[in-house]
Amino acid sequence: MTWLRRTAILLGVLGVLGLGGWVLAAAGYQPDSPPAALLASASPSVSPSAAAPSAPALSASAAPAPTTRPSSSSPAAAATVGPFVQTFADQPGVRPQPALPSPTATLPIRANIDGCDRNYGSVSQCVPWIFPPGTTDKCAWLAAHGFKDLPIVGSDRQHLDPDGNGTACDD
Amino acid sequence: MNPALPLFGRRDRARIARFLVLTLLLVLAVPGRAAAGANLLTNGGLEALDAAGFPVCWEQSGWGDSTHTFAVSQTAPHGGSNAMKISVNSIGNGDRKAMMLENPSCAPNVTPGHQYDVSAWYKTSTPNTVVTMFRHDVAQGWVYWTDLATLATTAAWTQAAVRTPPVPADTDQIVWGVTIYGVGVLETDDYAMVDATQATPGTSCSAGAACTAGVWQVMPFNSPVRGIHAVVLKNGNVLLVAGSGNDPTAFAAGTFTTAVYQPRTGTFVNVPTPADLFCSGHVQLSDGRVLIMGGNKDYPAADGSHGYKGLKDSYIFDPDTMAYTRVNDMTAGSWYPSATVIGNGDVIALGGLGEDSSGTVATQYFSDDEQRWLSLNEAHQSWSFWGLYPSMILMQDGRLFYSGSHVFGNGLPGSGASIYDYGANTITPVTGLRRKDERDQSMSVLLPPAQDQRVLTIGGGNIETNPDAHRLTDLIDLKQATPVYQPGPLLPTGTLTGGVAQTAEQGKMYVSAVLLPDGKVFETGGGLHNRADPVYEASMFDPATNTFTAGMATDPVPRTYHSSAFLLPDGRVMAVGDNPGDGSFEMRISVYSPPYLFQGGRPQILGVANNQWAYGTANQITVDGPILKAALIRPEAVTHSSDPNQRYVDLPMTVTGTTIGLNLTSNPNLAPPGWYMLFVVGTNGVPSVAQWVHVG
Repeated sequence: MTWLRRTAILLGVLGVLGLGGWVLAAAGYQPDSPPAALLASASPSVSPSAAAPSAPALSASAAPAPTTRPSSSSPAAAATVGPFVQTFADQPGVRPQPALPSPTATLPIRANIDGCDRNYGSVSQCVPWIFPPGTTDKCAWLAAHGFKDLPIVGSDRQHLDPDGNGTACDD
Repeated sequence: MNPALPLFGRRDRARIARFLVLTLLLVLAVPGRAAAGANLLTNGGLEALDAAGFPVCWEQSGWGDSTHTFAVSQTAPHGGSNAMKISVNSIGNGDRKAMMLENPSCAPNVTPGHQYDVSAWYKTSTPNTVVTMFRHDVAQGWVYWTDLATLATTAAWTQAAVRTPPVPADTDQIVWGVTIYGVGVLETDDYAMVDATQATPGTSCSAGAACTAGVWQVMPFNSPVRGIHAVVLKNGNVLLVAGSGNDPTAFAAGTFTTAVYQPRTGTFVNVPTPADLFCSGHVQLSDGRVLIMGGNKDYPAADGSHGYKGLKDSYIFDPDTMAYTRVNDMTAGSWYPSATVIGNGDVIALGGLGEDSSGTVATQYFSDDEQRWLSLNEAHQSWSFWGLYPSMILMQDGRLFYSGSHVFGNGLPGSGASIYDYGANTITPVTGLRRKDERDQSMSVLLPPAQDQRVLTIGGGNIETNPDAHRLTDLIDLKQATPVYQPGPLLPTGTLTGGVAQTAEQGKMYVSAVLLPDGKVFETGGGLHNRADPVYEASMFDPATNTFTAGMATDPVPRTYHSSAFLLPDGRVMAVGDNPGDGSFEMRISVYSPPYLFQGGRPQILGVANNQWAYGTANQITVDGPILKAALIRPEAVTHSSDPNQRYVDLPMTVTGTTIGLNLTSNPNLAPPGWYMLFVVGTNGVPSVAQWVHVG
């Protein structure tokens, strides 16, 4: 080989070794023992600048002059400065609903507001007033959901007691 | 002229190629080294000292008969400025060691089944030196675990490194130290502990799936009461109120129950319960006591002649005495009332069912100053029916935003959401909420920070028509001149019983949404239908990006009707309850450790100059290192996916080294008076354990 070839081969070898070293470094290799590597991670990994004040998401600071609303927004007695309140959500053009007249009768609410069919089982149980969509076999649904020996305490509204013995889904 | 010779001949090129291939193989054959996991220890280098000059999060420990001294040595430590030096001059029995403090703030969190690499640098003049470990059993408290390795004498700094056995079940934290039990001198420095599980690619976390999904732990004990109502108390305990617990037999027997759960010890205290507080409303007053309003006067009649009836009774629960005291009655029966504390500390209750099962239309107002419910004529009356457990969120100007989240009911008039001005006694509708009649047991939260005045409403169903619960979420910005709900991202889908995947349309009701110290919202639990078909899904909502991160760990326990989840002061989330239609009740308790608890040591709040914070003031704290942000979180008082008072108040910081001024808003409507959990978050994203401060 000529000196030029020898030199080129030498440079190539050095380049390959350099590449290998770079790969090792990129793989996280450290010549220390593994525990030392663990300890290395214990050192603070935070730059001092990280302790700078965070930018608060205070959109309030860009808002117009403060206002306060009466009564419920008054500050507690211990407050030493006035509350800084914004004029958000004034709903221009939206017509407020005034108070209703004092009621002369109670407001009826259906007895099974919890969606349970009280014709079946105890009050702590809840046979659905309407079964979930896709339910084709109500008794199978009830069995799959842990209902057993379900007495009929009212009428058999959902036709779960074809034999009329007072217990639903026991056929 | 001869043609130019090539630089390399064929043989040279073959040699070079062989060399390159061999070199490449050698490079690839060198075993790769995984990135080191995060050091889970706080102050492992012993550099941060407390007021007494001892390392923060460490204590002098040991037992028996010996003459000994502990000293923080600055003479040639292994790293930094400090090392720990223990000199034992004589010893009859026992040992001495510097130990990590056995508390939630300092003891590193661990995952059962995982192994940990622990290491420390040491010098010792006695062979009687050993690495000793203790673990925190969620049922038994702190107990001895094991001795790991005996250390040889050495006069030069030497590293002891050893891997623990798998962490036993029911263990959530461990502590350890280097013990000397003979005459001699032991010096230690630069402690470290990393999870030996493979690190998650791209992170320094080595806790496996917990790095990104967190992990649930089902407690090895059950709740002694049906956890239908849950209130986090100013002392970090949890009030669990059952009353009759949706059990007519208990109601008939007059058996009403309450228990206080003490997370630090995993123990419960049963509390005499004066009335059936099942279905009551509750909120913390400005002094940290809990106002309980209404409850269950009667269950529905089997013949359908009446439904549930509401009590007028009202009580205050005192966390210090762990006892109820009666206050004057409300003006109307209240079964499923809302309860919102406002800027002056008073409480407004709306909705619910009255003593005769009718709808309660009275606005009921509790005066914090007078410690009584005002009469009907003393309070402003709109005579509107707000439904059951309407989510009434205090706005920054003192008005209440009805988010549309509610319990039961079908087809209430209106757009589903509105703004209620108690002072002016007016209601103005708010539009944009989709499927307003399928928001039964959805959950609404005022997103972090409260200053941003945005509300997220998640999922919901309809117990009467009983469709599949949906995936819709809606967002509203109450800073806008005319706020209108806007569609939010779809709730991620989960699985149903048996691992059956939900369809693309299916979501959930009975949702729990919990504000976390890092400013995100953890959403968990839920079901598909009326008291049936639990959904196993959990995700993390980021208010900064308005996105859900799917795939959080799911509670293995079903959590549907009568379930709740809430933040504990140690940064974990606790879940209780489940009451399916067959009438059974879930008594197991689950605790969730979010991913942030596996990202490294926890920042320490070393001191709070004054825990009484006035509005518009800067309040000084000292910490042990760089802090990213700080916030106050109002402790939850939750039932039926409803806690309108849950809020995260940002605390802009004035930083002078490790002394930080935390600037509290001047507006009491952003942070109504009361006790709050103060969290700081380190630059590793890990929150501290909360310190309690009183606002107002």
